[in-house]
Amino acid sequence: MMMNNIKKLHLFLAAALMSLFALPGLSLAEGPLVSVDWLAKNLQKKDLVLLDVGAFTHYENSHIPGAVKAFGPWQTMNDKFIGFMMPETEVLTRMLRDFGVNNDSFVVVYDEGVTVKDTAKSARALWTLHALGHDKVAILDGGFAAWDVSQNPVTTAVTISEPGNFKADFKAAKVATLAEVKSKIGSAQVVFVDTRIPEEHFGHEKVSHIKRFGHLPGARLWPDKYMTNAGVDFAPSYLKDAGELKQMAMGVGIPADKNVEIITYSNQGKSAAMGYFVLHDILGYKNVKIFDGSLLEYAPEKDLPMETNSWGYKTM
Amino acid sequence: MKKNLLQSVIFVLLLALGGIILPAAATAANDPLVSTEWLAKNLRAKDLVIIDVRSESNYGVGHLPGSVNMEYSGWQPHNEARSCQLMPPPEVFSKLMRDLGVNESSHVIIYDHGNSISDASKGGTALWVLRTMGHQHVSYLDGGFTKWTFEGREIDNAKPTPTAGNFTAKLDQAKVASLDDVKNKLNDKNTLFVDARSPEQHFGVEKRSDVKRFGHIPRSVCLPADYLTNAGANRAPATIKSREQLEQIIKGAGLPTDKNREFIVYCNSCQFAGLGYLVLHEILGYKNVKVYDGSMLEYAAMEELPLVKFAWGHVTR
Repeated sequence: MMMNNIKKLHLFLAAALMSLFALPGLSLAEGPLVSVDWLAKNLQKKDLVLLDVGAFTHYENSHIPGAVKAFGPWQTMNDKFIGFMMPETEVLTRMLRDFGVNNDSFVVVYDEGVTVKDTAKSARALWTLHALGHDKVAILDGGFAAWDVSQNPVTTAVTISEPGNFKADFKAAKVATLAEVKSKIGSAQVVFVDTRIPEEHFGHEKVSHIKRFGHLPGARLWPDKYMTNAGVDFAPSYLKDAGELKQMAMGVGIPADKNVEIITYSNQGKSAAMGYFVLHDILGYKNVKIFDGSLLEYAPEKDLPMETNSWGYKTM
Repeated sequence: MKKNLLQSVIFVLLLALGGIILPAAATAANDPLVSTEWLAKNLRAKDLVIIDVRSESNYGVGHLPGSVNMEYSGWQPHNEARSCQLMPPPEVFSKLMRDLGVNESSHVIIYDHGNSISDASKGGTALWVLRTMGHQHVSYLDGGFTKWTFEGREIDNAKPTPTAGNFTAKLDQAKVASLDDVKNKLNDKNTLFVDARSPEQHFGVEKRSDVKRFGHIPRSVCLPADYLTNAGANRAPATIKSREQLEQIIKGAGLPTDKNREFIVYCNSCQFAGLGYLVLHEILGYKNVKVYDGSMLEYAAMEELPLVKFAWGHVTR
């Protein structure tokens, strides 16, 4: 008798949950990360703008139906000849309007989806939109690789958009400048997060165009490639699940307090965007920004400290 | 007056000569590292045994003149009982060394291919094995075969026929940690576990396919063997970094500078850990360094033993 009732309860719950998921456009899916399944069902959604931020050769080869060719420039050389910086607000606004972005658009960004370097392109675009005051942005989990592997339709038809009405509302709190970083190095209140590979953080190796070895004093090391499952059993670059990412955040020395100020950096600020996306959008840290110039800007300043032959996190 | 002056001059000259020759030889016998320059000058010195740990076929193509061959796999053969690679029993090892002409008094020089960390760790671990078996005069050729040949030094493929040596292996327990040692020290704050594997394996996002679980021994510090050599920097061979750099790296990884502290170094199959021993004990003088030879191949297979995943050891200890 008891078993029958429990069985009935289970069936009822299962049915209820299933009907819940059957409702189209339910906000469950409209977090900062959308799945291939969700996108396949919502391609016709009225306010959707789908941006393909991968290499334009990749777009020309094949893309998701309705996707706009949006390879950038999301990063550019600034007036001080420092590369990979966020472009001027007016330039970005024009670009976003060309892409068809309106103030009420739900922007979904995707990349090639094969390695974490691809996902970082989407993360950087998402951060750029956040920095311009637009919060309705999501990344397609696993990118084009995930879309393709699920055998969803693809196309070569170029999407021509109606010009959008996007208006920027610049959020300085999202962008750390060199001056700000200078004043915050060594502060116990600010947590720097280095998203590069351990060899570069430790100072055993460096890329040729970065002027010095090592890391910013006190920086935590959280390599962006640890944040996705790219390459695991040939998987596309799906983000690791939130529970694992939370475990990692603790394991790399990020405080549990969601209000702590975090500045992510890398060599050129693109990998750093992965740190921003995971900390801010997945784990809910409220006060996260990217050091836009990152080490490309910082390392040549010989009077500014860098540590080498060590891990940044020091036991308190 | 003149005679005294002449005697003084001769005396000073003799002193100077002795000062040049003697310390060099004495230093080398006690130095864990010998340079290619030094070895080139001492290639045919009495009671010098040069052991090449590369494969038999590579050795057969060409090797340092007078060197004998014992492939790395012979230093760490597979052990059925513990399902991992461990040094042979002392009696077996004694015979192997005697056949190569090793005496108690010999100065043994070990060299590997010298191009990558994979090479250098083989030579380093062979050195650890020989030292653990009680030999007192073992040195490592810095830069190995790669540096030797880069410098255009002589090689040949003659097969030496050494006279049998008299070395007798005596296991030095102070240099090797057993699984029980490791288990007993898991909660001992005075013992420092050093993980010589790659950061990815330490952090637990990757693992070797034959290792059963992800992660590191709790509280262990990530000190990749890869960071201890110059391999790959501007095409450099795998020479060991300078003493100053090594001191900085050890400290920077989160390890104490107190040379009396106890260290247990491990990796997957003990190979990288051997290089950690060479650096910590032989070069930097930490007195109490053990290698856990079963390493992760053995440890990770024991489901009840703790492993930490998705964290840096120096952060969560």
